[in-house]
Parts: sequence; C-alpha cells; structure tokens
Amino acid sequence: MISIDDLDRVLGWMLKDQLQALEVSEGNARIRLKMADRPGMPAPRVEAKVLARGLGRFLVAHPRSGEPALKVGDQVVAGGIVGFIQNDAVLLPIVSAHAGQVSEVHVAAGSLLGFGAPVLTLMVEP
Amino acid sequence: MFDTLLIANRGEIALRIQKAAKGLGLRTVCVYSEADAAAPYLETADQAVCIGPSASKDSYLNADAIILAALQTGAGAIHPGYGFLSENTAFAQAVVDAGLVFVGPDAACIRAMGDKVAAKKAMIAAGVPCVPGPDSALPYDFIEIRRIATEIGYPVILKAAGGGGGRGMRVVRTEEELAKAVAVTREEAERFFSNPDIYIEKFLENPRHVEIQMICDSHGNALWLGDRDCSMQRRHQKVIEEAPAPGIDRVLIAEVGERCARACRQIGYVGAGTFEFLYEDGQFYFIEMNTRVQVEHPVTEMVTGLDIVAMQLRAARGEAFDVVQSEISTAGHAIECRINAEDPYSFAPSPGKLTEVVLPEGEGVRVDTHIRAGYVIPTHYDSMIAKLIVHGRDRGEALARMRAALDGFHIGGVVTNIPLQAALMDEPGFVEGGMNIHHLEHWLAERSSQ
Repeated sequence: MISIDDLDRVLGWMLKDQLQALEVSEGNARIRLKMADRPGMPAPRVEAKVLARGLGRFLVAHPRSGEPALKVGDQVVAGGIVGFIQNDAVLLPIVSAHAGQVSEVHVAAGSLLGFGAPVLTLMVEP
Repeated sequence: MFDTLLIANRGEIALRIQKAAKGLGLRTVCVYSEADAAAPYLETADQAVCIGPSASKDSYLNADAIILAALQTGAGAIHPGYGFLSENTAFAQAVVDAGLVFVGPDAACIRAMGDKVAAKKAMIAAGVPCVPGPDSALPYDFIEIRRIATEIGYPVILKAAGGGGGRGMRVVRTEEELAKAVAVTREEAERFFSNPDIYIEKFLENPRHVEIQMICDSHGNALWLGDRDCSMQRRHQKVIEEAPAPGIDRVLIAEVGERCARACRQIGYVGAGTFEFLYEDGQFYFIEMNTRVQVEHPVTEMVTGLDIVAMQLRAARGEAFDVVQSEISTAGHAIECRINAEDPYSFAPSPGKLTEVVLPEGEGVRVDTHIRAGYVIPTHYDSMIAKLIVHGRDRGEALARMRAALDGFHIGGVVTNIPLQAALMDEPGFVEGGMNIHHLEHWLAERSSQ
C-alpha cells in the first residue's frame, strides 16, 4: 500500500530529475502525479540520510537513559541525537543534521556500523 | 591461535592475503575506506567494515580504527600487508597491547631495523657484509668527521639514521663539499625524521639492487628463500623484479643467505623480511632490512614453490615450519612486471573506470590483481593495479613468456605502463641481464632526448 511518505519520496525524485509528470501502473492500481502549475504550492519533502561518522556497535539510546528506539513515523529535531556508536569504552553520539520524520531505520540495535553507514532516512521539509 | 584475520590493507595485496588466509581455513575481515567501498575483494571477504574516509591518514593509517574494527569483528590477528602501517612500531605494539596478534616481527625488531645505525650494528654482529663506514652515528666534531671520510675514501654518502626510501641522503665527492653537506643533511634529518643522527658510508657508483628473502617462525627456524634482482628502478621505485639475480655466483648468494638467517636468529626475528643489498664488483653490501612482505614476493614463490604469505600466517599462529633449509631450492627463472595505471613515459597517474580487463593466460603466467571491468581506480592511492609474474625453465624462456603475457594483457578505459614494460622486455641491456640501478633512468633519459 502506498503511504503519504512514499508519495513524498516519489515527488522528491521528480523534483530532482525535473519531471513534470509521472505515472505508475501495477495490476489494477494506477497512480498519476503531476507538478502544480500554480506557484506558492508547498514544496514536497525530500529524503535525507543520517550516517555513522565512526565505527562500532549501534545503540538506539544512551545505556543509562533507557529511551525507546526511534521508529518509522517519529519526529527528529535538527541537532538531535538519534543513537550512539559504541566502541570499547567510547560512546559516540549520532547526530541528525536535519529536522524531519523517520521514514526508514537501517540498522538493528547491536549491529556493527562501519564509517559512513546509513542509520536512518528522514523526510525533511526543504 | 586465531581463526579470524583482519586484513589492514587494500588492492592486490588485500586479495593476496585473503586467498592465503582462506587456504588455511581462516575467516577474513577486510577493512576499507569510503573510496574503496566498491572494491571487488570486499565481496569475497567473510566480513567487510568501512573504517573511514578516503584519505589514507583517516583510514588505512588510522591505527585506532583498525584495531577497534578487529575487536568488534572478533578478529584475533591483523595482517598489515606492505606500505601503510606495516613497518610502524607503534601500531605493531598497539595491536599486541589490544590482545591481538600482529602478523610480522615484534615492535622491537621493527624499531631496530628502522634505525639504520642500529640495523647496521646488528648486521655487522651477525657477519652480514655492510657498506664500508663506521657502525655508529657521526660525531659533531668536524675534524673527526673529515678523518672518517678520508679513511673511507671519496665519494661518500651521508644518510639520516631515521630516513629511508631515498630521502635524507647526500653524495659527497670531495672534501671541500663535506662541511656544508653534513650541516644540511643533519638539519634535514632533524626536520623530516625527528632524529638528527646521520651516518656516513662509501658511495657505490654503479651497484645492482639484490635482496634476500627471509621467513622465520617463532621456533628458531630462520629460512632464506633465495635472492631477487630489483635493479630496474625509477626514482627508487622498483619497476621489474626477477629471481634469481642473473650472473651472480650461487655459492656467494648461499653464504650471504646463511648470514642473513643467522642475523634473524640473533635478533629473534619472526615473519617475512627482506635484506636489501647493493652488489658491485662481486661484493654484497647491506643497506636495509624491510620487516614486511614485499610487493615482489611472488617471484620468489614462483622459483621456490613456497607460499610466503601462508608461511607468515603460520608463523603468526605460532606453528613451526614443516620445511628445513636443505629442502629449499630454486628452479627456473621468474620475472615480475608492476602494472601501473599511469602514462608509460610521462608517468602521470591515470585513474578512472576500467572499461575492459583481459588478463593474460598461459603456461607459467600468474597475475596478482584486484581489478575487473567496471572497477573504478581511486585517485587517493598509488597507481599499481596489477603484478604480472611469469616463470620459465630459464631466463630466456621467462622473457619470452613475459613478452607474450604483456601482449595478451588488455586494460581499457585508463592508460597503463604495459607499453613501457613491453619495450623493456626487448631492451638490449635488460635482455642481457645484470644491469645496475641507474640503467632504467639512463634509458628513459636517452629515449626522451631522441
């Protein structure tokens, strides 16, 4: 089933590739998107990835905070901590540069993150 | 005893180590930089971890990240390959301090061999022939320095004790030049190597570069695996290597090899290592020891039938070798051409996407490479993309096989030095064999002036 988030993502691609219209058919379902002619329409949200800038195990929150893991649909603020990278005695916060809504969580708690690995995808107001 | 090996290197040697490790049934972990994220050998590793951005200092030279990656992936040992951290004393020690095995000699051996004065002292103690000159750093008293230089006889060469790779050296041909040369070399030694010690040696005008391959286990077995001639060099970088060195008395080689083995036993050396010598007028002169596996190790493997990287791993696992010196012999002749993505005559690097890769095949042909069609050569590292090695019953057959193999080696999308290597296989001096270390530079200079 297509969600509003998916539409945002498709609109983001259209914007990036300067497509005026896009049509997708699958079985009996058909969806057609067309860029508005009128100025002043709200711009679609775009995707942004939060990446690991270090190496280690992914923690969803500080071990002493007990906060729950972020899930799809949660809101993140710019500068907000979205998790930690633990390596030996070092805890490195993973900071989101953007405010937005979580559209995808790429890693499970405890998994090994390499440098530059995607942690979350956010839908961000441009 | 470890069962998982982390490979702290990139390119062809990362793949070479991976193959040897798999042959021993080890699990392999490859670390890589962001620029190498699409490297083909990451697909065949049991695990791959990105340790940092493209710049070497942030990834392949980042000792902390590499050790942390080993601890996080359950690796019990780290193989440093060549270059990068392979001869870094602090790294070797940090690996051991983290409870891991460093595949190579211990930090004390690396430190001793990295200091040229200490290395020379150790070699003289073991009876390894050295270049004439004192086995200690030069004093500060100029009258004494002048006396030493006169005793050796001009020309002499001044070298920084902590230097290497052709840096921090100065040739002095007359007594009048000596005072200024000493001052400048000392100043450079302090500035570049943080060690003001310099030493003096006889300068050899037209030597060849001949080296002895060593492999040692931790049970006192120090084996020498024959010699290599690496005289075909440009700017101190080897271009072609071969084994054995043409035209050198085998009895003399065996004598030097035995002395190298004795030196290794005396310093408690474990792992692969190379004694580099200058060879002139029938005499060997020790210049330095490399405490790692070398780029040109395959030519020795081709003539001895031994797997040097597998032996490194066995030694690191604490195993005793199952071969003894009397069982080691060399058969035939092997030649290696380094294949670089660079202009064959201007030597300008040529990074980019490979549109076609056709590897040569044939009897006695070996290609050590990590490339394939579609691979993008990153701009951040050196330009060597493959090593082409051939083996023949004698040097003539090896040369013929190398000509055919170079002819059958096609790389599209970038420029390579294959045409230079092909030209050198027909160059009268190289074909004759036994040329000195200046031969290639002279040939290139002559060619460009025509």
